[in-house]
Amino acid sequence: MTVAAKTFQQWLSSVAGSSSSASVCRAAGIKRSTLAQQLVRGRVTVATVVAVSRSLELPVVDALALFPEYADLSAGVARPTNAELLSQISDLDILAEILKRSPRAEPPDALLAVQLSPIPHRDSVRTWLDAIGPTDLRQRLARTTGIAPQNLSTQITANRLTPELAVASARIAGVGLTNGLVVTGVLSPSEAGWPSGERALMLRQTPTSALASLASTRLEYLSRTLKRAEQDDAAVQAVWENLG
Amino acid sequence: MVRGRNRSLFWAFAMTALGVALSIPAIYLPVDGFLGGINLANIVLRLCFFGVFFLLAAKVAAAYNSPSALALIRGPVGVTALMLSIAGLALTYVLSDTNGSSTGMSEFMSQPPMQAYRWFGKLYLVYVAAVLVVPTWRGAFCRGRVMERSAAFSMCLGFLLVCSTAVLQTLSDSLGLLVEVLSYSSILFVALGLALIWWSFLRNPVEK
Repeated sequence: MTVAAKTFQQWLSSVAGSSSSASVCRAAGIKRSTLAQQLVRGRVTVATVVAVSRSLELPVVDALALFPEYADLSAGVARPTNAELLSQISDLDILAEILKRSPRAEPPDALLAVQLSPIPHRDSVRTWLDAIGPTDLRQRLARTTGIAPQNLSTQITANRLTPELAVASARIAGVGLTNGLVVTGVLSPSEAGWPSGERALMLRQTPTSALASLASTRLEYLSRTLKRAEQDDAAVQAVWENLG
Repeated sequence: MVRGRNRSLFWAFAMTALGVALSIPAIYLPVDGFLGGINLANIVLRLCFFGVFFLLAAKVAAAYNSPSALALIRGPVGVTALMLSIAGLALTYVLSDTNGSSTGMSEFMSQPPMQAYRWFGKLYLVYVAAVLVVPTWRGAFCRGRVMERSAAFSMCLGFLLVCSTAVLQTLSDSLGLLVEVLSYSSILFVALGLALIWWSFLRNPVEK
């Protein structure tokens, strides 16, 4: 989740040289007060390291690997598996692909390049964990990192996963260590060494039957999420209606 | 004519204001003098609070989507409890000697019927508060937004305090200060809950 402030400062002076912290922050697009607070607390977030590395045009994964917590990160970069690639295609893109293949669809327009929606999609974290995981992945993740299971599921429901947990999940599942950082939006796919266009290729190669079954799983989950949101909304409306 | 939303809440607040006003000697004494100086104003005050609880409780039960609590308040059981309390109040009032205005009837508390009068004045309020603890508790500890949940929790705490104050009072009568602190904080908690809901409503206006 975070790296030690002391290590961060050593790293910063080695890469940014003499430039002031104000100019570093400006270039990285982070607030000075945010960085100052993180330094005071002694823990600097991975997002800060990533933003600074990007602004200095350093390879992000290699920069992260300079910190002891993430030392094996660059060695652990691996191509995403097919299941991982599919997990990062949004519900709508899967449905669109199915519709496109149906006999009644308009003849495909070759000129119109299909643009998949970017990673992460609305449910990236959960679909990724399901795609990489042995079935007891969440239990093992909770055991190895010491996070309470209900906190873990709160994060997953909110489509969040701390960098620490993302890397730990990848380690347990034996997939590329940076892949979890991609699905949580910390790294861009290209920064993590995902070949571009790989998702679109994967989508095209997947048989329609597999896509249909994937879509049905996704829709099942979507309907549950929507139902929950609608119930919550109705509860709030009832409170306002009666007591507002 | 302007017809606002939630008019029964308006009446609940209007009655609260009347009830509070009648608890202040400077207002109680002239009003009671006008009504004959036999403490009829105290009956009015008690009825005001019954009315407030009746209206507010139905609203809270509906807001937290609890048909059973609504039935316990609007249904036969709730109405019987209300009627019983009113009848008890009237009976004990008639049985006591209540000549001479006295705010809160504190001068007559040595009379046994007056003790019962005070008791009947609490009975309905405690019943309603006990009914509302469960739905507000559910509202506070189910998922939902922080603001609505803290509002429900605050009200739940208020209703719990109403009940516990009554229990404490029956157990012992030498707890003057504690009982006073508890009953005022119960009012504050319920009011805080309503204020939080109102605030969250203002921030997210309902499109009509």
